[in-house]
Amino acid sequence: MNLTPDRIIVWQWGAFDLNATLVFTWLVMAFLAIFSGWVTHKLSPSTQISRGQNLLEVLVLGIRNQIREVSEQEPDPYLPFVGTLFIFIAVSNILSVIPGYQPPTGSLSTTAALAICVFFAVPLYGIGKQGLRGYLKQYLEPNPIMLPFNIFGEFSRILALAVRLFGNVMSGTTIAGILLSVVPLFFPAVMQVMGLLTGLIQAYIFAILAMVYIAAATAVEQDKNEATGELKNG
Amino acid sequence: MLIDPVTVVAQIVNFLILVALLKRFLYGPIIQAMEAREQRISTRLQEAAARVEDARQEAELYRQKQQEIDDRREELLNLAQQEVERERQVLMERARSEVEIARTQWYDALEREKQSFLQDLRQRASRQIVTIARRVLGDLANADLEEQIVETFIDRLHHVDESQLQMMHSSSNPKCELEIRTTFEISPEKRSHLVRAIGEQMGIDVAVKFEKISEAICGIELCDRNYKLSWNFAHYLQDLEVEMERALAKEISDRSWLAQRGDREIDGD
Repeated sequence: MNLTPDRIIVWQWGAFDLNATLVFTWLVMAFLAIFSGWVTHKLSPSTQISRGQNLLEVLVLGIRNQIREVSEQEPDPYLPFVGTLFIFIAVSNILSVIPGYQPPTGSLSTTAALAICVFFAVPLYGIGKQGLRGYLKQYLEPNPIMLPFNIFGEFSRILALAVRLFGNVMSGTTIAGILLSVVPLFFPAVMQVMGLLTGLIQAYIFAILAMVYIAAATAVEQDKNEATGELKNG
Repeated sequence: MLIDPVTVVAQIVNFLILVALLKRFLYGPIIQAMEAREQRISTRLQEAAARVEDARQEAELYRQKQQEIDDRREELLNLAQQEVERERQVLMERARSEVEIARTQWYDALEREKQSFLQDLRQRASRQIVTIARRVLGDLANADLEEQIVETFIDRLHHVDESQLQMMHSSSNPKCELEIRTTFEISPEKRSHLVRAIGEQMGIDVAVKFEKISEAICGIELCDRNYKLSWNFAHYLQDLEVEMERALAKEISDRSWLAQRGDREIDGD
């Protein structure tokens, strides 16, 4: 039994192995890109809209509102990154109801890749928002003594992100496999439904946590600006 | 090893490509469509608000116009009512004065009619009484009315008192001329009888002039400048005349009451 789709080799060319993780990732990417392109090429600005447009608008609007609530900032700069995290993870997990499908998020390589993306996105957004000095100053807050702990916290939370998602998805798939061999009827189907719910929750958690980290990196300067503004106004 | 570095790198690239793809095919168009819709809805809401404002202003304008029309109508109505009242007063005054004039004329006509009626009645009654008296005297006493009148007058001459005699003396002219007026012819015997009776009564010779008049009621009268002694039927007609005047006065009073009630009804209208 494979704990990760990385081990499933689909095609091999020399030293390069094309594993199932990459294949299913591309499938998910193709599905998302084609579906989005198909819906958005006939968008209507009127109040009469298609079901696909309605679905995508609800999705995008929901993500924007969540970003706005969490960051208390305008969501548009963060929408492509955080939104893609959520949509990719959610769709990857939801498609696991298809027999033979291996969710890419069940691969620690994928979750690690996503976590690394978050790891780099946080300082990029932070520096973009408040400059290099302002961002690095955060590591000395509240006291320079906290610098090693802050750095350690950065790494540990990224690791937690990756492992949490991997563990949940992999465990769902593994439990389904085990139950299929123990109780072949009915119960695995219930677990699959539970897996759908878990997959969506994990996607939500991953995206929200990523947003929280980005918001933490960008919010300090904003608070400062607000305080300065209040002092000026006062 | 659960982590494959090549896969990790490939997944990072895949993820970044997916971010670019979704940004190109999903977020951008969807957000643009939503913003376009919001803009459109906002524009339509602004248009609706502008139209509502226009409608409100229009309604306010019409309300003001309606108020002006109502005020104008009320003003015209008041003017018309005042004009009507003024006209009514004028007409009432005119009607009242006309009624007053008519009533005055009617009273005058009635008075003239009354006087004419009384005069006529007096003459008719006197003639009738004279006729009746003559017939009664002729039938009962075989006597002539005129002779009896003269006799009665002579008898009255004999019974005048001292004061009347003094008046006859004082009023007689120096020539001692008297005049006797009658409504009938007096026979010569009666004339001499009369002259003698006057002379005896006054104690002097008097010249008597006889004259026949037509306007008086049957009778005889002795006239001087300030003194007159007479006997005629008018004395007997006085009671009848008083009674007739009373009846006429009652009739006139009843008609006046009806006329006044008519006036009150006109005023009430």
